[in-house]
Amino acid sequence: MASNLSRGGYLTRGSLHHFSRLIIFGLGLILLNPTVILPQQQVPEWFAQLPEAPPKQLFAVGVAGKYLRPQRARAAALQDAYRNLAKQILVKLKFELIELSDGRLQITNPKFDLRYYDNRLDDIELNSVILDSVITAEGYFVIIAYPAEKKSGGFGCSLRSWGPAPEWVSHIPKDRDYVYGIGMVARYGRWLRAWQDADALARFDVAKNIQVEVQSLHTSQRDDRHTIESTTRRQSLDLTLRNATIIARWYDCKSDTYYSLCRAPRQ
Amino acid sequence: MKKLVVLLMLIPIALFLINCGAEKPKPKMANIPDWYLNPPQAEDAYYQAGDAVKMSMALAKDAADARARDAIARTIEVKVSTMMKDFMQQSGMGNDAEAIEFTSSVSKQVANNVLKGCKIVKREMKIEGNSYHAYSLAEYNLNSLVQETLDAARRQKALYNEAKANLGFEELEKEIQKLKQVGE
Repeated sequence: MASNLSRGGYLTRGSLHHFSRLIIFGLGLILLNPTVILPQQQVPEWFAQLPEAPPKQLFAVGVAGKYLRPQRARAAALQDAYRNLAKQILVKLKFELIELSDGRLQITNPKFDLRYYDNRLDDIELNSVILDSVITAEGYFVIIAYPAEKKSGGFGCSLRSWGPAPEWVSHIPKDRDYVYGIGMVARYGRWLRAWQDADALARFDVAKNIQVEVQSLHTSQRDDRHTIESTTRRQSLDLTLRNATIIARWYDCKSDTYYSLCRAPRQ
Repeated sequence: MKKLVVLLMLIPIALFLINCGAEKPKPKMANIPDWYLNPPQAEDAYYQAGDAVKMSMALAKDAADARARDAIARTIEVKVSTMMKDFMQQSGMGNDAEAIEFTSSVSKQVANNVLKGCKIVKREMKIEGNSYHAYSLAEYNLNSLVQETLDAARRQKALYNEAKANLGFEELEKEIQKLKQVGE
């Protein structure tokens, strides 16, 4: 009876031993696999730093996660590159940030609206050319050029690690001809989504650096003992950006933060 | 072995309880960027800093940027208002009610309408416990301010004409162009 119980209902000493071994084995696998602990170890050079495109031509990159079939990963990465190129050509941005604070309560409510013309996608798909594509442990990366030209040459496949923080992360570049913006996001579960959001936020940052509507109301109420200061702040923009390009990216492994640098010509 | 499993199960609970009891780390003065405490000063630009603490990094950045730009807008409103009043008093119409309204209207328009070319030039992100503390430094070029003031004054031209000024509008434009010198 006792042996039946121990076999059917309770863990025996032997099974516990196996269970603990399994846990240790699993932990060991996680610790030994750098892609689990530290994602984005190796990326193509042109993903971290977009090469300068020749005049009248645009470059854009696309990424996709892991797929069972490489063809599907390639198709997904290409679709992403086409979308990124469409956004690069023309993107309509609407942003509004409302902040209310009265000393006790603080509410910050941002709204983002990014639109691009997807009717251009067919044209981009027909008239673009793949310059390079790379499969890494994490996904598929592709770079395309639009419009395709006969002399469009491919790039050499070179992978790189992220390295130390580039200068633009803390000091936004200054240029007479271009406006720059930085997008940053952290603690994302999926790296694909993180890059998408960092890129989008970088475009909004460029737009805010060009033009933003600012309204605010500051009030101060005093009685014998207290002073209550309240602020109502609203900032908004409604802009169309042309040729806003994500020219550089950086991933901070220590803080799990994704950075994108966007550049747009002065309008 | 059983003890080991119990111990393994207790560790996360203990860590959770320790974390609950922990005080929120406060920012050390040494961690605050120098440019936040002492924003740079330049002859051709205004600088203002802003900061925000949020759980989301993106939100902290947006809020800090917004506060820095808001500080710029408030500085501009005061600056433009002072400069316009100076000009009005020099032209002998400073106490006129309509001239005061004109001055106030132009300065509010410049500050509250659209900030063109107000850039975030420096930014730092600090991690404080589970939150992000973003610091932003906004820069606004004085040339942009002159242009905005001119545009706002043009929009308010009708009001200005009603003020029965003894100076032509072109002269006012010239004076606004001199704002650079006044600002220095």
